[in-house]
Amino acid sequence: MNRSAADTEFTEFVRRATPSLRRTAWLLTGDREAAADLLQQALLKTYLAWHRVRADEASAYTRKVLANVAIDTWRKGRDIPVGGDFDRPVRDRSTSVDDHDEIVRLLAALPAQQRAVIVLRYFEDLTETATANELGISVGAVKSACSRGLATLRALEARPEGSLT
Amino acid sequence: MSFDELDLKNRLHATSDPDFEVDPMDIITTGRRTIARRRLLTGAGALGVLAVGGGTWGLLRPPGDPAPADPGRQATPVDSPPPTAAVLNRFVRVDVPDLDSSVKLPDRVTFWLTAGRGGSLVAWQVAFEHGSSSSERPVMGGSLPGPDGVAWNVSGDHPTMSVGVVAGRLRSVLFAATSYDQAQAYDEDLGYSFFVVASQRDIDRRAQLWVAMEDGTVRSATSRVAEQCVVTIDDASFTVAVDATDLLALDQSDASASMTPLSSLKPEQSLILRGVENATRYRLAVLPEAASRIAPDARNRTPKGQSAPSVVIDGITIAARSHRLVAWSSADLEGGLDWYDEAGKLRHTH
Repeated sequence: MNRSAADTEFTEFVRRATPSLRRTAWLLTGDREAAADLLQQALLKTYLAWHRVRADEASAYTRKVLANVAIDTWRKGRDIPVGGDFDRPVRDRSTSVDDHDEIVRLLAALPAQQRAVIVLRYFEDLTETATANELGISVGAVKSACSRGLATLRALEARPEGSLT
Repeated sequence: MSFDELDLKNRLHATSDPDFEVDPMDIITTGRRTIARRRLLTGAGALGVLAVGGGTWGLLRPPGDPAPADPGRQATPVDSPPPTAAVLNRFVRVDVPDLDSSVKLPDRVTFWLTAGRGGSLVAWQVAFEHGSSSSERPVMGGSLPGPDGVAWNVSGDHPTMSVGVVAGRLRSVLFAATSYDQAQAYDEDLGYSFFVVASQRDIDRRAQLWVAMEDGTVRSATSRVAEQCVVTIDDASFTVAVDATDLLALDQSDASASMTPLSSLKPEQSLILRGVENATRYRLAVLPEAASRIAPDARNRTPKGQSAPSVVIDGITIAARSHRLVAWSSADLEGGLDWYDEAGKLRHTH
């Protein structure tokens, strides 16, 4: 495949996959700007690897990069403003949008790997084994992260309003 | 309200769309630049060594053995603000608008450049002399000095060029190509020539540096990693550090060049590594704590008195043993970390 054809194919992929991937990026970061940066990075890596990424696996490849870059960035202590869209000190449940997005706010309180596991398992509907493969960790680690993540989310949810931040 | 797994799944799927756009052309453009830079940097390594080796030979060649003038293009001096003593230690940008343009420079400096067409610089070499109008024979391409004084001749499509001259000796050259900067600097006191290849406009700007020793050798054959250093570039300024026979820091972030041999540092002096710019880029400078150009944003100072001090900048550990930087890491576009040991050998990449 020549470059022009590959670029056309990549452009079509980006347009087709962006709506789903940007939601995943947002759930992984809790911040629109950080999510945009994260998705940009992941798509760039996908482009650089395009010659070896099969078209029907491109979304999965990019999603895998998304999750791993998010975790790596967190590990390196860089300034991804996790939860940056939810800086209000008091939760506002007066609107349905806030109510819907409250879960993003809760996710942002989790460590990156737990967050990634939760997103892949319950948003992307991956199996435990697939999640483990995506993140390069063991199935046991996925189970553990799921269990801890859910427990933390429940605990956060049970707190009085306004105490989350 | 608590929730079970099904509830969590439903709530995740009910979240609103963050509704930001990604332009595929932006990604393709950046990706192409990245690919081109990788290819060029790979090729430029060998060419750079050749160029530096040749340049060093030119610098050290006995005055009584002038090379024959090149019969190629004759430089035609044009009006342009030449660098003068008033620009000591500073880069001066001179526009070279078209192919074969020439710019008159102060007396006692002669140099020539060779550049590839099509927007990517493939090789160049610089030589200079004191008080002479003789020319150097180019290895690739050609030029001649002007009839009086000094001229340069550029073969290539590159629109701008920056030259810094210090008191009749060539101090540094910054070549702004389409997507790369290449620069060579020579410091008589230190006895080092620098050859720098740096991407100029890519998002993770980088430089590679080879060191030519005063005896004319280029220390790259046995320990390539130790001879080159990858750093980021910030607009027209850049900061370069290299671990060759010694560690040097070249800091031009404030438009004034300074080179600090780290061998002059005392063991108890701190190293200061400066600047994480954002999530994917950072600049690295190694300066003595007492240097005057410590950046205001310097942080993470190495504790004094440690035999193998290290600093952690935003989670990246950079270690210095005694006077010498022995390990540092750089996050590239792919998020990898490269670690080098004391011998300059790549130890770990992930």
